Amino acid sequence: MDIFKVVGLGLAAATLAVFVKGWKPEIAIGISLAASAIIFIAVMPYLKSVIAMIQNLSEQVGIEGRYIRIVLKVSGIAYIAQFGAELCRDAGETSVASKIEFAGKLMIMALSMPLVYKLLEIVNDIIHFG
Amino acid sequence: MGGVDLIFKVAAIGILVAVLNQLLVRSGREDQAMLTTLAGLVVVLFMVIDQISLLFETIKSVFDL
Repeated sequence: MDIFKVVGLGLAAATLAVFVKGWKPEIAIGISLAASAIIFIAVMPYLKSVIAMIQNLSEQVGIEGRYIRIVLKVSGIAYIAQFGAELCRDAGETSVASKIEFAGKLMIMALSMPLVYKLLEIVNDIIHFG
Repeated sequence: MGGVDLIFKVAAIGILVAVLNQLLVRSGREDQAMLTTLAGLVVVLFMVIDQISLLFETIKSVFDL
């Protein structure tokens, strides 16, 4: 099972990071950076299969592909922003972390604006129809 | 998952740099100790950057950003 590998790697990395942090905090950040990246990459195949399934399902139901693509993009931005912000917060740089989160929120909002616009259009159509 | 090697390597560099740092500081060469720390940090960043770029590429392809 892959979960045991991930947990083992995480525990080993955490132990080593705490150990190194006593002398060299900046290199401990490197350890946690590497561990986070490796674990993220290790779980990617699972995410890929889940996304393929979602796309398949949405095709069968008949939702337009570009809306699903926007949802996927938003979750990708959220993932990567969370990743960066957590690492910055671990390193003690709270202000940089909150800037990263802010950038992520802004980009998500910009991406989802067309959807809001479409929704308002639909509402408008309904009002004028009645 | 061959990533454990990388983590062990980074930790080894950290311990090595710390020991070298202590030795140099004890023998009164603070400036060289600082440079050792800097060199260790740069080496660690170079090792980690491959993983980060791989992560970004993977996320880019999975979420088609």
